[in-house]
Amino acid sequence: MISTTPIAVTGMGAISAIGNNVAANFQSLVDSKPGIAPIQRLDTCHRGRLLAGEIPMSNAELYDRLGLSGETAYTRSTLLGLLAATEAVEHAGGLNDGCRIGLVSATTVGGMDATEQYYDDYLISGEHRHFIPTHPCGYAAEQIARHLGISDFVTTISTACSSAANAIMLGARMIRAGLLDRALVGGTDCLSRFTINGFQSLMIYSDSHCRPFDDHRNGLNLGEAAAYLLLEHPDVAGRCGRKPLAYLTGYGNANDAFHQTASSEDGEGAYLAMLQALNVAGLAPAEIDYVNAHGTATPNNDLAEGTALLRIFGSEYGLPPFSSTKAFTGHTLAAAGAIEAVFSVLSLRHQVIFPNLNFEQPIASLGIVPQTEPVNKIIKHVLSNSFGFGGNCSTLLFSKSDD
Amino acid sequence: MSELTQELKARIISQLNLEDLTVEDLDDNTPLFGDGLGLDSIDALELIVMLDKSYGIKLSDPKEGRKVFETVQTMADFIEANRK
Amino acid sequence: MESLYIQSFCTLRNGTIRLNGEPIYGTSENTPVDDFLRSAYRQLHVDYPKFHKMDVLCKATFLATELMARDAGPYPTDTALIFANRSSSYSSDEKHATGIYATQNPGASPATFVYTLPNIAMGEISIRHQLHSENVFFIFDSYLPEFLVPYTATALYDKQVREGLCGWTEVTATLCDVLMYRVGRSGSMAHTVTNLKRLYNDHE
Repeated sequence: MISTTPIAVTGMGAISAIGNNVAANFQSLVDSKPGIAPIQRLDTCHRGRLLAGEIPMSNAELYDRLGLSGETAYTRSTLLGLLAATEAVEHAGGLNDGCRIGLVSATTVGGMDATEQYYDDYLISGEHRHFIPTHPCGYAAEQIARHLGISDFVTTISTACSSAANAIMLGARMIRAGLLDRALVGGTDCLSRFTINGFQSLMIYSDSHCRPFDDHRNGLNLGEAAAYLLLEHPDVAGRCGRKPLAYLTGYGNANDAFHQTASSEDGEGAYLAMLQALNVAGLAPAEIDYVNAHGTATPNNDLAEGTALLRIFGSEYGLPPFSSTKAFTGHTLAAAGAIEAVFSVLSLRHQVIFPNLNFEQPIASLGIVPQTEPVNKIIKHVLSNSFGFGGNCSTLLFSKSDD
Repeated sequence: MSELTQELKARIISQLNLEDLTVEDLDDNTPLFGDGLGLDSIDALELIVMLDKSYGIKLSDPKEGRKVFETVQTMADFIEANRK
Repeated sequence: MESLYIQSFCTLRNGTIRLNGEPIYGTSENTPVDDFLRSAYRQLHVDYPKFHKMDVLCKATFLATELMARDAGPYPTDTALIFANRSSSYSSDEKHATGIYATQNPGASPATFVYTLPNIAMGEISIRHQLHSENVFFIFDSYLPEFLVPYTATALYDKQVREGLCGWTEVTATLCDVLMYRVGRSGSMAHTVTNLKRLYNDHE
C-alpha cells in the first residue's frame, strides 16, 4: 500500500458564466444567481434562443485582460485557461522557486472554436492562418505552460466530461510518486458550434433552464469555463509557508462498461469511482458532508448517478446533502471536473453547501431531494463527481484544511 | 407499401451500419429494439434523423420514437400516415 | 515496486497486423484505413456486429485488443486502460464538422458525434470485455514511452491491479499507427522504455 499523503491545494483560479474569478463565482453561488441565458456571443444560428452558460467576455476583451499581443493566435479555450491558470498561480504565491512543476490540462474542444470560425478563410486569405496550429487538443497546454514558465512536465488529458477530474488525479499521483513537487491541474472548454450541434443531435440539450435531479428534467445546458488548482506536496507547501486551502485526499476512476454515451441503470461506473475515492481517502461514506454531483440534468445521468449515490450511502437517510451546480454554470465539459473541484474547496473554506437550482420534484423511482437553498454546515469532506462519455467515471474527495 | 418497406430496410441497414445484414434478412415484423435486432438509443436517434431528412417528418421527443420504430412495418405505417 | 512485463503486443501499421511480431494479416500498404480494418475483421473471424458502427480509432484498438485476448487470455475486470495519441479522435471530428458546417443541408449525425472523443475507444473495449477499470487517454506530440512506462507502473502498483492494456493509438482516415500491449506481473519481456521503443520502431 503506497503512501496516502493528502495533497495540498494551495491556489485556485476560475472563470465561468457566473464569474471571472474564484471570488465572483463564490458570490454567485451563495446568492443563487445562475449564469444560464440565451447565447449572445457565439456566432451560431441558435443565438438569442438556445440557453447556455456563456462567459460575457469577447476574445478581444480576454486578450486585453491578459495583456497579450493580437499577433499571436490564442483560441478562446486557451484564453480562458490562461486567465484561470494565472489566477491559481498568483493566489498560491507563484511557481518559480526551484521546485519541479508540471501542468496537466484537460480539454475536449481544443482549438475547434477557432477552426470553425476561420477554416473557410484559410484557403482564401492569409489573415487567420496563424490559427492553424492551435487546432489540436494539446496546443492550449503548451501555450499555458510557456506563459507560466512550466517546463518540467506538460500534458493534456482528453476523456470527455471527466477530463479535468482525471487531470487533477494525475497531478496528485505524480506528486505522490515523487515525480513532481507541484502540479497545476485543471481544464478548459469554450462553447462551440461543434459541441452544441452534437449534443442537440443526441436530443439531450434542454430548451429551458436545466433541472438537475428533478423528475421533469429534460436535458442539459452547455457552458464554457476554465479552472485550475495548484497542488503541492504538503512538505513543499510547509517549507514555502503556504497554507493549504484544502486537501485532495481521495480519487477514483472506473469504467461503466455499458454504452458509449449512456450510463448503466445501476450506475456501476459512478458507484465504483466513488467507492475508490473513499478507499483511497480511508473514509466511510458516513463521513462525507457534501456531494457536488455531476448532475447534468439529462434523464439518464441523474437517474444513474442518483442510483449510485443510494448504493454508496445505503439509503436516502444516509445521503449527505448533495447538489449539482450545473444549473449555475451549464455543463462545461472538460472544465467541469475542475470548476466543480474549485466549488468543492470553496464549500470547505466557507462551510457552505451550494444550492441545486430549478428543483421541484424528486425523481419518482428514487425519491432523493437535493439541497435547494445555500446553507451553512460543518463540512469536513466533500465528494465531487464527473462522469464522461465512454463510461469514464471519476470522483475526487477533498478534505478541510485546519489552516 | 412493400416498396416502402424495402426502401426502409435498405436505408436502415446503410444508416445504421448493419453490415452483416441484407434486406432479405430483415423481416417486416421483427422487433428492431430489444430482443429482435438489438438496436440501441443512438440508433433510435439516427432513425429520427432519417425520418426528417428522407421523409420530412420531425419527431421532437425520443420517447415517441419507441412506438414508431418498433418494427419496419410500424415505421412504414407511420411514414405513410405523416409524410409530406 | 515489482517488475512488470510485456505479455503480448500487437501492431497495426502499413496495412499489416502483427501479433507478438508475427504478421497475421496483411493488405497492400495503400489500402484505405477503414477498408484495411473491415477486411481484417472478416478475415480474422471477429464476431461483434457493433464493430461496424465504430470509427477507425475504435476499430483499430478493438481489433488489437481482441487479438491479444485470443493470444494471452481474457482480461481481468480491473485491467487499467492507458492510451495515448496525437490526433485524438480526428477522423470522427472531421466527419462531424463536415456535416454541421455544410452549406447545403447541414446536419449532425448522432452516431458520428458519439465518436468525437478519443476515450470512446476505451469505452468500447470496456463494454466488450466487461472492464470496470481505470481509463486515461493522453494527448502527446509523438509516442512517449518515457512517460507511459512509469505512469503504467505507478497505476498498477497504486491500485494493486494485475494488468494494464496500453497503447499508442494514432489512427486517422489516412494513417494507422498502432502499438498496443498487455502489461502484467509475469513474462519474459521486461516493461521498459528500451523494449517499447524497440517494438515501436521495428517496422519489419
